[in-house]
Amino acid sequence: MSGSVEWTVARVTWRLLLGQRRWILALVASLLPVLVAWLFVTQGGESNPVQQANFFVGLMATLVLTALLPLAGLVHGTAAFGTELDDGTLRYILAKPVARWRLVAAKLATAALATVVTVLPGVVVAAVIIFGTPDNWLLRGFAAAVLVGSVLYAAIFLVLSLLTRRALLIGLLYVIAWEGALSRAFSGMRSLSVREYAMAIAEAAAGAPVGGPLQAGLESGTVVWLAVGMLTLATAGAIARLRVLEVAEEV
Amino acid sequence: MATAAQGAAGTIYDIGYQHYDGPRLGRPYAIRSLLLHGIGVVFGVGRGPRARLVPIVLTIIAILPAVIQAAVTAYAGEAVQLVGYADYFVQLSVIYVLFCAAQAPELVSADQRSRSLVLYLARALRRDDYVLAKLFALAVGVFALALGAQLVLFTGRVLGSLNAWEALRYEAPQLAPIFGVSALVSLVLASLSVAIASLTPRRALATAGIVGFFILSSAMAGILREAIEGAWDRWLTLLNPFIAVGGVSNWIFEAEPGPNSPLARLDLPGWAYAGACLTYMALAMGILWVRYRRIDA
Amino acid sequence: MSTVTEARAAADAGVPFARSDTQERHNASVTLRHASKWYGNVVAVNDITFELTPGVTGLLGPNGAGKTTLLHLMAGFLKPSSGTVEVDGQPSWKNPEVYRRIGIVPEREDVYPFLTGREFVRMNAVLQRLPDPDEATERAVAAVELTRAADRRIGTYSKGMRQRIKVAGALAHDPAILLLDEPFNGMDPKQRLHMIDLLRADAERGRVIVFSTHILEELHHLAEQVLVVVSGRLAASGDFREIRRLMTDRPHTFTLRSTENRALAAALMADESVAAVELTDGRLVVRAADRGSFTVALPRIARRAGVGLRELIPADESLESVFSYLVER
Repeated sequence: MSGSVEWTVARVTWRLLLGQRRWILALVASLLPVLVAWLFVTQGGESNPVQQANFFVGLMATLVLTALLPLAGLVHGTAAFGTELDDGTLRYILAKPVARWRLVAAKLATAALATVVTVLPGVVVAAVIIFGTPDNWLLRGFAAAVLVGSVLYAAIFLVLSLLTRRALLIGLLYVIAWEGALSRAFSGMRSLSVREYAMAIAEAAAGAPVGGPLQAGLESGTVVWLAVGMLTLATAGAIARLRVLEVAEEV
Repeated sequence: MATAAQGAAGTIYDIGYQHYDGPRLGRPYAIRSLLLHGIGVVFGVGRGPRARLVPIVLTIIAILPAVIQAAVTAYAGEAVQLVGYADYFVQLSVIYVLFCAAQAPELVSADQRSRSLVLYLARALRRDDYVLAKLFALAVGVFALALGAQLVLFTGRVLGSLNAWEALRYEAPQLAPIFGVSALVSLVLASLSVAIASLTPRRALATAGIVGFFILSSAMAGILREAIEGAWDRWLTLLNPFIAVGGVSNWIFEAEPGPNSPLARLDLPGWAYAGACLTYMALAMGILWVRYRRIDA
Repeated sequence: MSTVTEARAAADAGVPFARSDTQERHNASVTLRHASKWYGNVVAVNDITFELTPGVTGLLGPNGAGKTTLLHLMAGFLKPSSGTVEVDGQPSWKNPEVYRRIGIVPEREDVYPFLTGREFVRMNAVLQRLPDPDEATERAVAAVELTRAADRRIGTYSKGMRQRIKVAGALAHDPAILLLDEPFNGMDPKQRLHMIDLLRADAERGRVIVFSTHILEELHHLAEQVLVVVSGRLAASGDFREIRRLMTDRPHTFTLRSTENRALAAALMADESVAAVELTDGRLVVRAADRGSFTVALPRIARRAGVGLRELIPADESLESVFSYLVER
């Protein structure tokens, strides 16, 4: 019986995030990696496994991890509370004898899931197109990165949306800066091998929310702890903020 | 003046309202008014200082490199070229995108949110007029930014050289391309931005959509350019609107792209870029047409 | 599930469906003590003290007077800048448990447009952690007479229907305290009457009901107690007629009809309890300086003048005059 509170909040939030034709945009976004993969395979001619791997990593690094994933996390993460805050309907959820952590948990899980659903299917299909099979260590690694990244981005932008009305815009500036920085970093790496790519990603990602656990060892260990830390901080922050959120009068 | 009934059931009083049957300014004037109002919205005119902050700051940032380049030219001549006419927009694409992303929602999304479309259409305006007026308002804004920057470069070249009159005659032929490319940039950017912004009444989401579109398209174009060796790779870079614009720019200015430019190594014919630009505009108009057909007035 | 079917059957038959196990609500209370709320330099609510009792209390005041802020303070949506706001002895702020006892009907029209009426009310019921949300949903929907429209999306509802579904959502958990912000907005007269009946019946069962409104008629017909809020301050509280009576320094106006208006007018003018007399249209409009002494003096004066009194109407007992008078102060 207590489960139905979270389930109800999750269901309404899901419809808020992906209902009423918003799923179309999510679909289009998820098809972008597929389109790129398809073009590679049909127009690029025959390619050896190294080239395929290089391309896939490049695709993930420049399109998915630095652009698509943070954007999806931003849009869904800020919308989880933000839509209702803007519309003035959050008060219906707040004025209930439900612990604030349960509300945050339900909305965070939904936002993270929505992000995963926006990004991951496209990545999987792209991998299948490129490699011919989903059984690929690169795909597994990047899928994990997408999952972790989805949760983290959703959490960060969720708490941000509770702290400021301009969360979406601020998050957007972050994504622009992040994408700009990384695109400069990668433009000079055309001729590197997969391993170098993966190492570069891990290096770059160590300072960022998304960890690509491709390299065994210390690197990924630190990244995991960092991720857990950020998630805890963001979630705790959201719960604390929700407790003292004042419902303003009408605009 | 007022006459009242004597204890009757009810009367309509004649309090002097005039019925107007004379000539009206009509549709062209309405379009012109909406356009001018839109341009005001784009630059935050007539609103509080906060509305002016973003457009003014972005305008300054957009023109600043041109000012710097002009100063550099004055001292070092043509030797040091940080930015030129042709590649200006590609280099500064981020600023132009931010400008459009910030202001297009103010033009289009805000009306949807406040449900003002009814009020506009209750006048002589038609839906197409409304859409085009909004689009051109933003285009004019971007044009001002683009042209402003280019003219600063031009002035820098003219005034910075040893013989101003000579330089003026030398540079003068560049004026036509300057206007042309500026117009092209503004039309492509404005049409895409307004089209994306029209899809949602939430301004922040529209901004995110516009920025997201340009980020994703440039990322896609980037990957494809790096990775594909076949004949099609170069065409696929046109997926980035700025590549398309930059290409036309180079074509019209008959310039060679710099080594660091994303346009390097691309050997596409000029009309390819032009075609891509037209395709983008057509796409944007298509989206707008569908969106505003279906929207409830 | 059977209770749900019963509730629906009752609704179809047009019979009100009451729960058999009505809770005692005599303990419900909302108390404000020197509560204030300010935003920077703007004081929205200024040192207000009162206690709400079972029954209907109306919150009256002009726009921007602080009525909504006051309701939000009671609802635990805002933190009081100073003073206390308590529900059943517990602060309403930062206290989710208090919502078991409170139902809130906000003013804003926007309600999840993509949910059906039933889904919305059920969501409220589930979030209130009720043991049988379906039964509660049916009961609440029936109470506002939206059973047939309950499966349509709220986005398709008229303004009045949206108001009613909001009320249904607030009633789902049968709260002891009901706060309504401009609940009659957008309702047609029939719906308004129905809502008034509904709220009156609830009040009789012991609910504490507070509602704010501009429309003075509703207060007239519904509110036993009135709180008049002007510029964030409590200008008056209590039975509105009593409030009026307390303000003796304002001239009271009466309309008279008598057998000889002019003679009576002359006689009245001589008395010191009368401030002004006006003869219009076969009527006598008298402004009394002191209501008490005038009402005593009038029959005496009339008899001495040999004039028969036909009609005596106190002209401004209404909330309108109370209100506008308070606003002008």
